[in-house]
This record gives sequence, C-alpha cells and structure tokens, in this order.
Amino acid sequence: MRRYETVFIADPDIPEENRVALFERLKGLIETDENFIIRFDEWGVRKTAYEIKKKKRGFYVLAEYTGMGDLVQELERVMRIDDRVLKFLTVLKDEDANPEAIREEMAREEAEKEAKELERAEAKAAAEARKAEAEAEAEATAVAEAAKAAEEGEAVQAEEEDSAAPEEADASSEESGDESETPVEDPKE
Amino acid sequence: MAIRPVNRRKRVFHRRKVCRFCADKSMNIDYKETRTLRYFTTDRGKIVPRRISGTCAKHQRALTTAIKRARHIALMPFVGNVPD
Repeated sequence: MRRYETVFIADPDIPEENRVALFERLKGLIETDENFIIRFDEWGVRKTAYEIKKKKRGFYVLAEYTGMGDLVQELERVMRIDDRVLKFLTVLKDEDANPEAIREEMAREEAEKEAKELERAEAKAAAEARKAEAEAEAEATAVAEAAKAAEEGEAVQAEEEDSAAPEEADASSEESGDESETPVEDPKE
Repeated sequence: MAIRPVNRRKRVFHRRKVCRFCADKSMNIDYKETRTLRYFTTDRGKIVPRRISGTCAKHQRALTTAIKRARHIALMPFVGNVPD
C-alpha cells in the first residue's frame, strides 16, 4: 500500500453544487475496499501564481489517500478528461504505508481535534460568562453612578463647593554617596 | 593603540553561511509552504543558488524539487515580478 497526496485546482467559476459533485466523483474513485481517503482539505479559492486556462484564481483541494499506482493512473486520467479540473499534482508520500497505522493516526488526530474543539467551546463559554458578568457589573455601576449623579446634582444646587488646593511638599532628595567608579580596563585589550 | 582592533573588525566581514534547514531542524521543506520557499527564490522567481543562500547540498536538492512542484501547481510563479 502506498500513500499519495494529490493537489488539484478546480474551476473557481462553476456553481457550488457542480463542484461538490466533482469532489464526490473523485472521492468515489479513491474509496474502495482497501483504499481510503486520509484527508480531503478544501483550501478554497486562491490566487494562482500564473493564469491557467485564462483564469487567475483556482479552487485548491488537497487530497491524501492510500492506494497503488493504478489508482493514481485512473484518477489522473479522469482529471485530465474533466475540464472542471484545471491542474493537478500527485506526490508519493510513502512507498510502503501501513494502512492500520494510518487509521490509528487518523483516529488520534480526530480525537485531538475534538479535544481542541471542546476546549475552545469551553473557553468560549467561560469568556461569554465573564463578559456577561462584566456587563452586568457595568450596568450595576452605571445605574449606581446615575443615581449618585442625580443626588450630587441636587446637592450642587444646594451648596457651593469649596476647593482646597492640596499643598505640594517639595521633597528635594539629595543624591547621597558619591561613587567614583573607575572603569575597569581590560588588560588583554 | 585602541584603534587597531576596531579597524581589524571592520575589515573582516563575515557572512553567515550555514544551511538554514540544518541549523533549524524544525524547518521542513514542503512544496505547499510557499512562505519558506519564497525566501529561496529571487524576486523574478528564480531559485537562489547554493553559493548565495548557503544551503547544504542535501537541502538544496529538496528545495529545488519543492520549488518546482510549487510552480507546477501554481503556488509559485515560473516567472514573477518582471521589471519593465
């Protein structure tokens, strides 16, 4: 069993359902009893470095899968015929891949992803809770301030405020201890 | 007396010529990572020679294939930024 990686550029100007149909077709080609897809990453529409079939953008997809040479032959034949695929590149990743190990790896990655998502969800929930708390607090203080302001407004009307200027004490600190440091000269210099 | 060492330092100009991929093992060469590859190409899209970049033979080989693959799938240009 070998492990391959194929990047292909799908036409960015075709309708979504057409593109999905193309992906499904390619996935169907790969998946058989022995072969399976390791990952199918849709990078989305990106600018291409040069024009391909007069198009400046392309919908990039990265597919990683297991299989043998005949599968690659078939896949590339289909992609060559299908004009929804602008370009493709297949790279051999592992000459002698162990399907079991890959499945394990996939399961582990899946678990990690889930754990991360869970963590993120928890963090989000915590952040939201904090935010709600802060908002509630802010509201409470705003209400309190408004009440206070109203009170003070009444008070200001009643009495005049006398402002007492705070006395500024000049603390002139003298620098104590005249240290005359002689720079240490390097004898090696 | 104090002038001499300064002068000497000025005259010797050392260019760091260590393979970046050997120095930093976490860096890997992949045709999909164009950000790293771009560093080893000129503005025009040419591959920078070993004598300039200081890359070791092994990594330069890997780099060359990676850049060529990236070009094939239009992640990097064959000819880029041509000055008029």
